[in-house]
Amino acid sequence: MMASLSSLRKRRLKERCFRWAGLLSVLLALLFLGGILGNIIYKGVPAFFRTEISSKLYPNLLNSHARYTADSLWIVASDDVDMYYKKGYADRLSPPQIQEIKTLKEGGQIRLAFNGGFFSHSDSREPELAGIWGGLVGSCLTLLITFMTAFPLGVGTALYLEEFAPKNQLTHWIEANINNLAAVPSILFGLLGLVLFIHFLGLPRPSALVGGLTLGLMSLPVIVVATRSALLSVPQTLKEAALGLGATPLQVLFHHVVPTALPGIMTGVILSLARALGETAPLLIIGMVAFIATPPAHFLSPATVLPVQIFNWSRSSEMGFIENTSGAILVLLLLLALLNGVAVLIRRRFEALK
Amino acid sequence: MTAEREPLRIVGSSAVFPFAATVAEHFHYKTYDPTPLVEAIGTGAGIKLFCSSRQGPDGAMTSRPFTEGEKKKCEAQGISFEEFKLGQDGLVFIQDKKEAPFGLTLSDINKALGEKVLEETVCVPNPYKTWNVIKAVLPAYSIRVLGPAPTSGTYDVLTEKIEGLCGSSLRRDGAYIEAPANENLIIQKVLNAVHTVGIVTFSFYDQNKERLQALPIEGVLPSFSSIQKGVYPLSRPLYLYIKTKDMTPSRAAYVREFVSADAMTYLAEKGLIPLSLEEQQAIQSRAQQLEDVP
Repeated sequence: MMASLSSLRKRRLKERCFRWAGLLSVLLALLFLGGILGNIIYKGVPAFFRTEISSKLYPNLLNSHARYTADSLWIVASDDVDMYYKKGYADRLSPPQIQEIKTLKEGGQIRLAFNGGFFSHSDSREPELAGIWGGLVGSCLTLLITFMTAFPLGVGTALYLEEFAPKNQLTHWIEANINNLAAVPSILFGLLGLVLFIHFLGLPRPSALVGGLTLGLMSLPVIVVATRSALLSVPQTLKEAALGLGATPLQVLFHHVVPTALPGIMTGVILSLARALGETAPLLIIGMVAFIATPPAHFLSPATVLPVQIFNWSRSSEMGFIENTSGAILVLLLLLALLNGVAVLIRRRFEALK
Repeated sequence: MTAEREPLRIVGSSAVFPFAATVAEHFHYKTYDPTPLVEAIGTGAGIKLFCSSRQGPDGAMTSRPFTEGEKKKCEAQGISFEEFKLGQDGLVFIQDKKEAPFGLTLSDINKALGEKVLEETVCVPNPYKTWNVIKAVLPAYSIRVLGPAPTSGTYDVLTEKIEGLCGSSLRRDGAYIEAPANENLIIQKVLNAVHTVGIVTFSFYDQNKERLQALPIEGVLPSFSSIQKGVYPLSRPLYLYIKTKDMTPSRAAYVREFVSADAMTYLAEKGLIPLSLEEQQAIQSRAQQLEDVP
């Protein structure tokens, strides 16, 4: 009797320990996540505001009705003034400059305003004027190329391998290789892209086309794997019923298997695109690190992408770029969350239809 | 406004990159030409690309002059080019502003950072663990210096300038920590860990003076005037090379903008140490002579 009781107690203790360990690890993970996010938000939110100086500096010299026009022209201040006004960093300003700013402050001629330029301008070496528009356009063009290459090729490969290919040594070997490729570090795809697209095919170097193709190579195995597992989850009975009613294998595939597997396929594609959106390493290898101050006009014009722009900003000496870097990271995180949200939405939608 | 034209392409040293990119923007506003593409791929790689073909990049930015071998390789490709010295860059030993500052001599740095040091007449593995063993006036904490990695041009300059180094590498026993090519990272670490010294280029020190202080080297603090006059021992020149065959108006205009008096002002704001006035005038007249017929 005593022995069994103590054994019960022991087992309960073990259970409690396990639960506490689990809870602790969740809390720890949340703490890290919160710390990182908190740090980025704390540093990045000021990037969405900029210091502006009124052009109505000399009211005595303006026409007598000028004071009735409520809106005056506001001009973006230099990054040194911006840093002083936001954070009080005064080391890069001279005492007369600081005095001038104080006078402006008393007259209400200096203000913090929403930094629209952060979204509408392209890259610049001046942190107060730099924006993410160029990187955003570059990312969109690059992702479009990635989607156009990786989606048809990946889904086609998976459909053929899963539904039509004979099951033999060769296809088995191909399958194993695709699974391995999906786990290869992205930087190796950068090296492949460098050799294949730039050295061998001679495509223009910092362009959305080369970037998109390289990321397409990277996404391809991931899409194949995701599509195949989606196809595998389609019940065999469904296929057999359709075949039994006289449908050809192609009809079975496109009328029954693909529609059933579509939510899974779409989720896999969108998640792999989200990964491509946040990718930097392979793009650094193929040389998409140039300073580009104009957004790309087409697929062959010089382009950079958002994560690479963040990388470039993080290496800049001006203090204003510290907040710009975090601000751009916030935008990138938002985009990734949006893409993932779309993936969830699509899955729910299709599941409801079923 | 001119029709859609190919932008100029400038490649090379990451030390010149911020300046070349800044000039690119001003050049765009002044000439309406498309903003030149500026790529930081390192001095060596930049020269290689510049010399690879006549169609390649229009300009190379470097933190050292071309070697004879590089010049020959370039000329073998039918490329003729001209060299423009842009200014100086300094290496700065930085510390958190909260720490008590101390001064170093070049031989102190050798003893603190050399992989091997000269003891009497033989080279021995570096025995110094704390600063005050080198010289009693130095602080009593252990030597911890963050600086450039051997792949960077900055590392070469550092090992070249340190006096009496045995061999050409810095110590690898943990006292010297090689940081990747991100100077903001060095600054972050210097600010977050006590008693840590960092080595960064002048522009990074200049932009972060709010939080950092520089250590005097041989009794000289790094500043625009001390580096320009050559009194501050750890400095290096920066160059722009431009192709003179198939000269285009854009190329000539970009060089002229880079060496203009206006650029000297706004680049100084970014941390470039300008040339002396005589040197500036000489280089400006050379830039004027670049023929800009297409």
